[in-house]
Amino acid sequence: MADLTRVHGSPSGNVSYDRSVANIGDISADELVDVAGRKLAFFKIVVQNGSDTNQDMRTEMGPNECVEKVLQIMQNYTDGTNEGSATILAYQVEGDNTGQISVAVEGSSWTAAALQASIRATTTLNSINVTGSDVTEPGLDLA
Amino acid sequence: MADVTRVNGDPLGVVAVDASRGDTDADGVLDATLTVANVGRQCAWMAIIVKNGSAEAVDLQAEVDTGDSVEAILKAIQASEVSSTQYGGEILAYQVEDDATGQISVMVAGSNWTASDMQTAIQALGTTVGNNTLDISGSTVTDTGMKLATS
Repeated sequence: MADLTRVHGSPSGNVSYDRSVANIGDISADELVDVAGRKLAFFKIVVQNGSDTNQDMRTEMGPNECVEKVLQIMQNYTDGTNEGSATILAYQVEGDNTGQISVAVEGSSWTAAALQASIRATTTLNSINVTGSDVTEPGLDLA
Repeated sequence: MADVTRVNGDPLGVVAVDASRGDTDADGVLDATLTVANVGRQCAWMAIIVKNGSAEAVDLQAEVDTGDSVEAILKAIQASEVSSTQYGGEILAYQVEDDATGQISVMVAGSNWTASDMQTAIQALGTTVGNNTLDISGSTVTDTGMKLATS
């Protein structure tokens, strides 16, 4: 019986639902593929004060405290005029003093720059100075 | 009108649906890294570094075609049995790094994998994996939680 070599169905992304597209062959950028559900964005937030000193989030886990307020900012996207979309699927708060919160967001309208600006613009969250906070979008690059 | 201060509904995990609690002594302060899944099944987050038998990282930038090694590794994660009664889990998302580090990051829903079991399964794929017969027998797997890297 003749063999048919499979030439389609690679692990590269499909345009319809993935963020990045390697097309065919070698990749030229980090290739993030969402196998199921809506497109995901991954943001690394490091909460810092105006002197760029990391703010310990371990004691900021209560109602109305800093972590909750950062997540609320993310969930309620606006660019000042238009509301957008951002459903937090999962997040992780580091059990150390690095101030890092990692967030997976479905159907995100955020850019890292816009999210960073929104967090910084609040100035203080539960009396924590957040004006030097940094946000990057590394994709699903696990540390 | 009297105010009622909200004292419940913090960002800490709920045992039933989340991967970790973080605040193990319930004093409102994290004792360990906290991962919370708001919807869906519990997820495991694994960083795979594909390495050969000499523990050298294998560049995956040219390994994403049909039948190449990235596909073989994803199939192993998706299809392998952790034990005779437990399947590995469902890959929800993954990322292949566009560099020579050999890193694949995977987000696995409903995972029964431990990092050790996954590492053993990937190493067992052997020394001639995929169209380009890669040696991936020295690959390592770390359960990082959802901690994202810098870039």
